[in-house]
Amino acid sequence: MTRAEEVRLLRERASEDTTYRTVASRADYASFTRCMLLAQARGFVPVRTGGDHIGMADYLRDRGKHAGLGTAHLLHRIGAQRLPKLKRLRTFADYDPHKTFTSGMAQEAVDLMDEIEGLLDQGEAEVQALAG
Amino acid sequence: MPVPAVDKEKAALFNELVTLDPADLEQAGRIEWRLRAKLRSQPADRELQVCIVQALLQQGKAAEALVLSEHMWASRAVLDQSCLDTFQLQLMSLGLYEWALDLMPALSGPGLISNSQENVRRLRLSWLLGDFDTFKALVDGVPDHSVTLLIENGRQFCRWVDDLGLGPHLPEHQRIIRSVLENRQVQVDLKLLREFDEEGSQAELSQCIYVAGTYAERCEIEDRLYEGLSGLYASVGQGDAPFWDLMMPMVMDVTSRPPYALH
Repeated sequence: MTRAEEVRLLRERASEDTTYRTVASRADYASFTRCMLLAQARGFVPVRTGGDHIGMADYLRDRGKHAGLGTAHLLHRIGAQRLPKLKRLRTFADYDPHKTFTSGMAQEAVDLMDEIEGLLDQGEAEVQALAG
Repeated sequence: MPVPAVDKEKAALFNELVTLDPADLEQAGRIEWRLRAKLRSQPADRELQVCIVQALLQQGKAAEALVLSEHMWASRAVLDQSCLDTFQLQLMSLGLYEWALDLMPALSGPGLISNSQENVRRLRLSWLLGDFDTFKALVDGVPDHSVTLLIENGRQFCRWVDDLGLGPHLPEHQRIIRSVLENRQVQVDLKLLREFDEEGSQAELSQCIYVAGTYAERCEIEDRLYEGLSGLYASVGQGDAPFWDLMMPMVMDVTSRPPYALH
């Protein structure tokens, strides 16, 4: 079972604040790890700290910055917008205990993870060639 | 959110409305129609109109809520204090920030909203209007013995905005957000949080804007926001500034909003 599949299963079973937070946190982790493989295949060198989260997203964003359509464009969308939003939802889940974390927020995190998975799948052939 | 002191049925419907599960749009719709039925027999009842605006907001019906709110704005002088209080929050939810700010003096004073509530509303409105000087002054003006984690985060966030020289661009930043969200926004929520890691911490402000829309529609709105804001910062030589990470607008579905804090 992939991490994304685990998250979808968690989402199906989630029914209250704590489990919704867990879903968002794991969705972010699932996307982060998959994007990290892609970034490393393209030359990103992680420093193994929390800063890698931003560093990797910035790397993907910058690699796609001047591109038009195609994989580079997808990278920009992931790095500039989707991953940062998913990470922000994780921040809400982890650092905002006084506000309710709703079912809809958990679903948003899963939708973001699924979109990132889909964008990465679109560029799979190129990714495999680079990793390969 | 205050519950207006109205007749028992109105009060019951309003109380049920604001304590509903945010995802229960069907029940919000049923309450709206019951309120509308009452309004037909009491068309001049401003309290009922406030209740209906609330029902519309909770269903994501921004355009209808705007029309009714604009109509009510003309007769705001006859709203009692508790209705005015709720109406101000509704104006804020709809992105009518100038009007919400205009109501502040009528809500400030003994027996009305508390000083801390007033400060929080002023803080939110100053940010949403792009008035960074007022935002910073409110954050810096908190006495040291009253500083909370939120204010600490606010101060660190203001230093970042200052260091990056982003303050003068915030009115345009907010204008872009409002133009993209026009006729869509039904709630806005600001979160000032700080994430910690091995390298320290950074305060981030999230501007969560709630609309009725599918995931794809909301992504499309966010893409337009990103494009508009990127264009703004590139045009003033701030293209590499981390504006998106630092003060991210997030477009969320109305059903994912947090429940109201009642007081």
